[in-house]
Amino acid sequence: VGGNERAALLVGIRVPRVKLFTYLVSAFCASIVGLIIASQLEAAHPATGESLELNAIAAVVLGGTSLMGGRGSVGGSLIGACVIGVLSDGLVMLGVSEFWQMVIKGTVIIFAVAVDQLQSRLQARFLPLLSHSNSEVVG
Amino acid sequence: MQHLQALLIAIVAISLSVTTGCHRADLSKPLIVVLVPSRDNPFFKAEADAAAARATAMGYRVRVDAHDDDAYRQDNLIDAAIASNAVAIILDNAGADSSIAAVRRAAGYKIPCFLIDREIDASGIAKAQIIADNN
Repeated sequence: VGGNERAALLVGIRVPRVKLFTYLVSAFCASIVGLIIASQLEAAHPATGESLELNAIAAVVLGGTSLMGGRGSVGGSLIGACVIGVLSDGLVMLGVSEFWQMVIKGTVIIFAVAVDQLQSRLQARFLPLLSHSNSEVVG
Repeated sequence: MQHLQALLIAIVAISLSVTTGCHRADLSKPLIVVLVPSRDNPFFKAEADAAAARATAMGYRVRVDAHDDDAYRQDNLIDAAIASNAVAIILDNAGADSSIAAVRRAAGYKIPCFLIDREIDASGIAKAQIIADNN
């Protein structure tokens, strides 16, 4: 769907269907995770995994997905998930206090978003120049 | 994308090396892991501090962490304790039912679990269950 829903609709992408499919896949994945966790814990509790959202967002952002929409890949998110997993377990094993763990994870997210923004701004500045010079060469 | 990942790896490496440096001195001592529900609650903070102080006084290296009453997080923390070759786990658990599997896993690796304040609904797995008498 990208960063502009209306534009996507106008170029012929069936936005409602894509959205429905995305939420279905997301729910399916969440249910699989629920099954895995329940079998690992041999018990189920409604509050289980309440703090997983931060990790999920961090993984996706680190994977190069733009928070503004329009860019991202499953493979990138997978790499992000690995980085966050190593970071979480590594911080625990190093004995970093849980408060600092959150600070470090938050800092990593902010850093990733900052780099992402910087990249898109640089692109916005230099891509037009590039295409301009190309057209001059062609002309 | 590649720049982002390279920078990220650099940050992780730097932070890991900095934090490892802090703990290098006493790595020869055996490790005791203390897990409590949270450390922003005065009761659990005092509980964790007392357990950590006693273990330190007895010559152990101590790692304190909080599971925030999340059984999955507790599970991961116990896995981390097993991976760090802890000699014992002192645990104020995240649920009488949902903590049994984790305690059993630790017991399987011959790591005794001492449960404090809260109990689990299974006997014989934990080394001791020292529970609060609220009556």
